Amino acid sequence: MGISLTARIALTIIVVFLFAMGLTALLNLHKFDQLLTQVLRDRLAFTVEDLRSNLETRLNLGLPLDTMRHVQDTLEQRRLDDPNILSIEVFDPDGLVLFGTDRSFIGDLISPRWLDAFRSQATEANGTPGGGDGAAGGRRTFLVHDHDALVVGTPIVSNLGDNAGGIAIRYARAAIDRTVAATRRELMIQAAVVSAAVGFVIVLGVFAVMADIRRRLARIEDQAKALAADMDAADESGAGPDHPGLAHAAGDAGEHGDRLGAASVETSPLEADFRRFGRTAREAFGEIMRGRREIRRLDEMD
Amino acid sequence: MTQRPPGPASAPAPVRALSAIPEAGGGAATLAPGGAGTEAGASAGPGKAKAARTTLASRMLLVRLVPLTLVLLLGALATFSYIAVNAFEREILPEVDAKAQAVGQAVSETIGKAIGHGIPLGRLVGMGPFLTDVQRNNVGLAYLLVTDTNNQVRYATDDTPEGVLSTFDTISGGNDVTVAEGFARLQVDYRDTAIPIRAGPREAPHGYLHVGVDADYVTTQLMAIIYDILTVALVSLLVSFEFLLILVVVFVTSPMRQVEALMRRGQGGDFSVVLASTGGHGDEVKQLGRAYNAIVRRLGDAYHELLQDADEVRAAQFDSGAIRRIEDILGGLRRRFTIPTREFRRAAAPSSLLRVRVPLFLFIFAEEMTRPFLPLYVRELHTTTLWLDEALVLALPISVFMLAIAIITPFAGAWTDRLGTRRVFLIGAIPSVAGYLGAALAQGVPDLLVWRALSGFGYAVIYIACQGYVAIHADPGRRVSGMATFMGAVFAAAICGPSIGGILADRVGYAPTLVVSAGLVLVAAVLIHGLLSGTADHQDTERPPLRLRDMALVLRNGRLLALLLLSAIPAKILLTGFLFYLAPLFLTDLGESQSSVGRIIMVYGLMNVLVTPLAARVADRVGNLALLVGGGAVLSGVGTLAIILDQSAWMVALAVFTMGIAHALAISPQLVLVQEVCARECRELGQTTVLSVFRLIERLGNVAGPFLVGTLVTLYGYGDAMAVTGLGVMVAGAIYLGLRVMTDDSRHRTVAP
Repeated sequence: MGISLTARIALTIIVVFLFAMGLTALLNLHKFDQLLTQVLRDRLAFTVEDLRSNLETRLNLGLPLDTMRHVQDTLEQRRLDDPNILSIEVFDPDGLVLFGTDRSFIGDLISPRWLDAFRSQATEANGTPGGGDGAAGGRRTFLVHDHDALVVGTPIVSNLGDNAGGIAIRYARAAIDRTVAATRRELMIQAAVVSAAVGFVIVLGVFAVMADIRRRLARIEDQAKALAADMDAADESGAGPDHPGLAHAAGDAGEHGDRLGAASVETSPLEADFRRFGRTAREAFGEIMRGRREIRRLDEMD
Repeated sequence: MTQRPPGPASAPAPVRALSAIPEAGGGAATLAPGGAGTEAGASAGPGKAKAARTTLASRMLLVRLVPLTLVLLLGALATFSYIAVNAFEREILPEVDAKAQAVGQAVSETIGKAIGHGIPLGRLVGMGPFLTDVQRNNVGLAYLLVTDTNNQVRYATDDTPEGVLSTFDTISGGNDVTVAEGFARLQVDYRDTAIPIRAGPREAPHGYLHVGVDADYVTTQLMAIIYDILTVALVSLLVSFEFLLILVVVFVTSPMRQVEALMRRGQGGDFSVVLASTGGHGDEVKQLGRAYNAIVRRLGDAYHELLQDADEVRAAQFDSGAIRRIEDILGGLRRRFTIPTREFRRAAAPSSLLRVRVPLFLFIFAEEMTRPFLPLYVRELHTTTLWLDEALVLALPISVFMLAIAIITPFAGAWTDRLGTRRVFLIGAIPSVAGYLGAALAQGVPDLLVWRALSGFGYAVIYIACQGYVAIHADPGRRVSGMATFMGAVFAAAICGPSIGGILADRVGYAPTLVVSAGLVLVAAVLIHGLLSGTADHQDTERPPLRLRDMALVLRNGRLLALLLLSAIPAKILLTGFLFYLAPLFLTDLGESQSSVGRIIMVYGLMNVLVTPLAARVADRVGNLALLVGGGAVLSGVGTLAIILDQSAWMVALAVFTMGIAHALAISPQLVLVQEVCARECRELGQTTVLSVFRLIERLGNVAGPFLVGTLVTLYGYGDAMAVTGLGVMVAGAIYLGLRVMTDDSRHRTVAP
């Protein structure tokens, strides 16, 4: 099964177009994921900063972190604000959980990855007194991507610059993934619709662009077939060179050439070439037929 | 390519030779006239006119198809991006609102506490800086302002938009309708969240905290990828152009030209040739070819029957007059027409330089994709301490790749001559694919070096194989445009590769991008397998290998040595040392993403494409080739040295930009200059040998570049290393110019006035 030029060209453009659409979709989705995570991270960072400032205010009044009993209630309250928050933990400088929305974690150690991230932030924060400056506090949050959660935390520093521990929020990665997956699905459908529409327009466009050349080629092909048919007919009918299809060979374009060519608004150089070729081919065929008739006549005379 | 099957005993063998002469830039087969008395061989004039006519037809098709693709592509990408922005806004804006609410709640509680301590709302101290600090720490917030219960603004962030303040001025103290209208106006541009400020949970509000988010926040954020999307559109357009060009030329104009040429032979009475390949039933041009073949074969059948009749009658005839008459009939036919009875000669598939263009484009594209990130990938793999400094370790894979190319290139030409472009390309694709896949799976720098050497081997072999194809098929009178066809693919790939490589590396990572490169090489191999099938792709004679004696003879030429050491090698050092090695590392260090690095590296290819055609004209006009070559070196050096003004990505981009222009200006005149300064050697050894020696030595710059610049990085850091490299190239160029002036040897006109 062959493939027409129009289809071949249209397919090529469609393939390149699909490559561009795919890459654009990838770029958009990646940016969406990035943006969603960034907005979420900012919100979570703000929440931990707010909690941190409350804790630092009390710390600066001389209360040790592990004695702040109200913290447990505050954490649980914040946890209820957003169902996608998996847990909020307050831990000491060694990573031992002091308070947490999941009480079963209290007394456990935070994961080594959190501890590393916390310590690198705490090192930077060391010597920078925590002023309990509330929502306006300068950012020193850390971010850890756990397999199931986005973890945003910050160190807690007293006004003397001592590292008192840290606080971290675990946000369900599944919630982000769900949103991204739903958006991806929606975009894929939209991309398919746009691609189908554009694919259709591409086919129409290429069809229109190629129409002229296709028409001309078809005209020449018709003339060629007519010429071949004339040759067959001349041979089979026994008319030989007197067959009407060959008789007009000496004319400018030949009967079939005229008949078919007359319909064309413009005769392309290729068509003109074919007419001249056809005329010579008719002449040649006529000569051969004439020769055969002559030879047969000589044979009959004998 | 030329086939001469034996003709029938009773008919003369066709006398006219058929040969396919490809034409650069739109090539196809034409039939070379050789016999007498036929119109086909009349003159070159009509042939040229017809060639121009079909080239025009190709152009006309491309002129219609490329804008169609452009409009549809841009329209579709814009529509899709618009749809995406809407979908993203729907998901992200509630998150932004939630954040505004959280921030507002916390700030209003803080203000409420202060009011609870007895400070009236209008007497709070430091509110402006406080609100500004909150806003700056929370990306996406356009403003925060505090109003009293009459909507009069008491405090606001420093850069609260004027429009917002004037809206509050309008509604302050107004009635409900005015307030509602004012807020409705405000919501057009901003998503304003008002949070009451209370001193205690059950107290009436003392005022309101307004938190505003830019309504176009998501759109603004997504604009960050607009350059990426435009890059994708540009690359897609270039790729479309490359593919459409080959489709139109290989499947439309070349076969049409071939049919046309055969018809012209037929017009002159020569019906001895049929088209070799007429498969592909849906292909309109092939259908025409089949129709042509049917006519010619029908004539052949009829002629065969005539000859059989003649033989039979002759055998039974005793009348010499009748036999003479038969001979007259046959002689008359033979004089007017050339028709074989059994075996027709078959016209080979039309050759075209463009047949190698798309595979070469894809192949170079694959390698260029690694440019923005290869040193960074090495850094990621560099887990064990080698005996080299890290900066030099990062340079190693580039140098090894370039070394493999330098070593293999002198042999690759002979392999191509012997085995043909198609086979050598396919052989070269094996180490290439293995190299990319191996690099993607590399566990450390040592194995990466092996894989890069394999890739370098494949690169050299394939590059030279394609160059060989151009050498065979370019019309001797149009070698330059043949070479332009070849270089066009290289430049287009140099534009597309780095930008797409950067985007992919950013999104899917380094290793998967290398796998994509391997995939592209495979596609290129499949294409070359199909496109060069049945075309002549190797030389009848094998070129002699490069001999050490020849090299020594060429290198004894002091003027050539000066050109090599002061212009050609520094240019290559700058290319591999700065563009391939330092730029990705430095730009990443400056905080640029991989996409951005790719776009900046792309500027080099872009400038090459834009300036190269102009450079040839400038060279002809200026006439002073040494000035262009030396000036190009100085220009590229100055551009790179400019980093001392400001160590920023913009200055690196400026360096890449000037380097692209400078190299485009210098490369073409450089080759002519080599032939001029080595006129004697060219006469003795041939131009090809002299240029081969020049290229071989020049490639040492490619190998040394990353190492030299890496050493500078170790000593001075990225910025200063770049400046020192630029200074070195600039000084070398200036010395070259000075030497040429001193030897009063700088004026070499390329074109006679």
